Amino acid sequence: MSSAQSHATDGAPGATLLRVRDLQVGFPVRRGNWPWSPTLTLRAVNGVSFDLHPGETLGVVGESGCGKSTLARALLNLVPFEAGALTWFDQEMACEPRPDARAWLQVRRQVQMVFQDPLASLDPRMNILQILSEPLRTHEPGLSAGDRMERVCALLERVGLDRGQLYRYPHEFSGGQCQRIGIARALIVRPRVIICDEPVSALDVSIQAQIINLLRDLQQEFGLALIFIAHDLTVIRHVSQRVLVMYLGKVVEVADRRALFEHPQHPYTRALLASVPIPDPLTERHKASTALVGELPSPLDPPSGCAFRTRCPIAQPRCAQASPVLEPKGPAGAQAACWLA
Amino acid sequence: MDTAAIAPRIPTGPAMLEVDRLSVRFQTPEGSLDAVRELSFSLAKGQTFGIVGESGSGKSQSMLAILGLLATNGHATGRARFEGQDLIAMAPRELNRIRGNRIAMIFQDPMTSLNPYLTIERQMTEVLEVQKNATPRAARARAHAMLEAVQIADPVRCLNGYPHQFSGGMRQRIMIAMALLCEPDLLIADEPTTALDVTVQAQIVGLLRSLQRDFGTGILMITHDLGLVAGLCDEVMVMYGGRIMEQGSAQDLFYRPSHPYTLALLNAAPRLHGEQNALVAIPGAPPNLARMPPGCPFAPRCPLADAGCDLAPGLTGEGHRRACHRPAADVSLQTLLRPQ
Amino acid sequence: MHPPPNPTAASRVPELQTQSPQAQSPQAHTPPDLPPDLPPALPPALPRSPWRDARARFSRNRAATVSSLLLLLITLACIAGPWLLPHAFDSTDWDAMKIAPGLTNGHWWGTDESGRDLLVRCLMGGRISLMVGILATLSSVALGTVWGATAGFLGGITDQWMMRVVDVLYAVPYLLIAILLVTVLGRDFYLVVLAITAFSWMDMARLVRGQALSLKRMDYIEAARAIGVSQTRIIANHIVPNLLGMVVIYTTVTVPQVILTESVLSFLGLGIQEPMTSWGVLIQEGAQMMEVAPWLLLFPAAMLSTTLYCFNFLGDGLRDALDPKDR
Repeated sequence: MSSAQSHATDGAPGATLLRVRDLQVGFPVRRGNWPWSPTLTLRAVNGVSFDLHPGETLGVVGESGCGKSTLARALLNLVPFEAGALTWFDQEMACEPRPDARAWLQVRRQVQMVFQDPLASLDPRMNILQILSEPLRTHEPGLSAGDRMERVCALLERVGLDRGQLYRYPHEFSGGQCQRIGIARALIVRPRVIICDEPVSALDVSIQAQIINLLRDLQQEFGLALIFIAHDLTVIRHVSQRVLVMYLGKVVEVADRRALFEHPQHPYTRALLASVPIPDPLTERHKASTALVGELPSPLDPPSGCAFRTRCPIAQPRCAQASPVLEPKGPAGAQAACWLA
Repeated sequence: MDTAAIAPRIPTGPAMLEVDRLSVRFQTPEGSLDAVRELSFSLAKGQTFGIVGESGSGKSQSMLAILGLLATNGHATGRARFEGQDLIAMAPRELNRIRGNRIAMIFQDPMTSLNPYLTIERQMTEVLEVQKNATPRAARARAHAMLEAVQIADPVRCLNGYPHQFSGGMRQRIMIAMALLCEPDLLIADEPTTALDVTVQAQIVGLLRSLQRDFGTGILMITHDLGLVAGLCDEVMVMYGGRIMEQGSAQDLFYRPSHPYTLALLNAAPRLHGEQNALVAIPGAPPNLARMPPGCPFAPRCPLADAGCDLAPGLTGEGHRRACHRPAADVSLQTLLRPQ
Repeated sequence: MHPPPNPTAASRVPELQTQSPQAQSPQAHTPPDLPPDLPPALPPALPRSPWRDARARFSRNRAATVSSLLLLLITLACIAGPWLLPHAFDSTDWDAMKIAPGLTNGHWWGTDESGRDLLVRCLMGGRISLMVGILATLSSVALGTVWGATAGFLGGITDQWMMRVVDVLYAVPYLLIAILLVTVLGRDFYLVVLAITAFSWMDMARLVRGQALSLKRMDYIEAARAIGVSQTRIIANHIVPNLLGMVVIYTTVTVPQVILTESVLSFLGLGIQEPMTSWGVLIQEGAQMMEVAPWLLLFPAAMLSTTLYCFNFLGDGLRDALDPKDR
């Protein structure tokens, strides 16, 4: 395919941890309450392709309804994907009706996830020791209780908590501390990849900074690859090396961080960057009003051709005819899906 | 540089809202809890005022106290004078005449602020019928005009529809339209764009700005987002643990912050431009309102804290006020990162 | 999105919750982004498990604590009373028929038409009623919980079929079945328990299934799946413990229902056989003698109603104590 040689999918086979090609995830939605009412498919992820390399942080950014969270869940088979190829560690994961449980178990040992709501992602009736032991029991059942305890304590201290808090319950901790526990839980089986689904969105700014710093440190120390999903561009800028911008289930731009923030190619990326409020009164008040008009179209009935054309400031009739594909654009090796950029 | 655009709007006339030593206390099974302590500020007519704080700062509770919307176990002391009348001591009946009419409030989640069982028209005309004794016809016409003013493309469809049929951004516009129906003198917005996408947020902020220009309404914006405040507000106040930490014009606060917390907050937020070093994290966790330290609430986390912080810091200064006993010269990024 | 779950964001006029005391941790080495050294202000409190919190809230509920004490008293009386009292429950005394209750004549609650002491009979009846109540409740709770949790968690076709079974059973008129069972198989104690179980488990199944359905969507269940925990383990370790609260509450509400059902059956002559007695039987006998010896109806009815009220208050107290919103 045309993007086979493209930037997003570089890398010798074997070096790439994850290969995603044309992934499609849909949810059936019934219009009407009768058994014979028509069932439409909500295309949450509509043909996404990218690679993940060892040790890199791939940022995935987009607004609500763009499909980034669904994408994260599809990567771990928390929601099934219908079409496309998903290859983890050079092993193709099947998308038939019955997923291969054993293959996924092996993948889950190497790929863990951190969730958005720190408190809700921890079982309120389990104490920290139980919560952190659960992954060990699942993936390393041969471990003795003493060894388990040692690993749990060591990791707890590494993320900034005290081993005296082992027997406490999630509701006794603050949001930031709960997120640290969530990160510890993801790290305890020594994965190679961590998928972070909006890990700092629910935290205060001051705590956000702590967690972001922690993730950066841990990534360096353990050589992890991160897939970092967020809606906040400033956070993405701080953690990612490459960035994927999504809109209504498709990838509209892929670029290195510097290229994306300094030379955005796609009109949506430009609009996003222009909409971010900057804590600087002079700059902020002088910003020309580049707010996008209109609302996000319904994913059940996306516009023909380019999904962004209804809100795009430079849309042409050509944009309604065919959906653009990712192509190299601009000087810095970025890729954008736009007929006009 | 166009100084006219950036000069702070000079407050015209006497203060519209004067808050004097407002304190809010809650009684819980575990004891009493001070959500707001000794809050004092004033807002002039037509001014935009931003209150910035994280969770536990008391910013929302102070506004609820002013409008008499506190939970049953909350008790407010102090004064909040709106055009001369004290709102805290006011009887509910009179407060009802002011709420919705002279002071309007919009909240974070428009879905729970709108009644899911009533049409938009019903909800909007209700306000007018109650406050202004309008006839249904006149009320509908006014609601229509207001929806147009908030740039809703199809006001008729909107009036006949129900809240769940609209997106978050639309609902927030409807809320703003409802709030402005009676042409209030003051609009209090409690995190109005937090639940919205950033592109929709930009639209709403632009809308608020233009409405303020056209109607001259004063806006009191409560948020945690410094960028939002920079774009919209003339006067900014930073709160922590129920107390004011710093207050001044937007320029004073952003370019010449003189409180360790403000400085730390400005540097903890990731930016779209500039260096990407490790963020300056503020150590510790948000305050536990049930167990506040004596004196400055920020002391446990402050890199510049010393023995003098055990006493409650008073607000000092004129125009640009701060609550810190360390001199302003001590507060800089270097001292923050390498405390003496 | 931002900010963290703030009480005022969720509902406009809430009770402001205190943040739980955070366990501050003195650190030997402090990387710049970690909590600084803080002297522990208080000795570290015991971990506040959700159960301990619930116990504390429960003990503050006066009605619930009084009810549980009363229930305890009644149970003890029913167990120990017949041994301590001088009369046997089935000893007839033709000289002392239909004596009114009195403190001096040796029959504190009077006697019935065969001269049997009413107090002892009430306590013996209590034994049977409570035993039936508890046994039938426990078995219907066990069956209903397993059925409901499995159906709710597995979802899809399995859930549909399992709940259709429940729906079909709901349609069956239980009284007819009870009559049938009893006529065909006799009035054995365990049969009564079986009959009552067969009609009570469906409520629990429905409730548990609904709860399991909402639990399934919780983030921590998704997190467990992301970790790779097997489905059985998820049901056992995550779903069931989080259901227990509701199950406990509903159990205390089911017991009075069951006791009442047994009483109804006994009242219709389908329940416990002579010479065993239960509150239902006593009430039936008392109703017949109502004009002549009203105490024969009043005392057993009072015991039954008190027990039922106590269970209901207990259930209310447990529900308030275990309400997860009150965390």
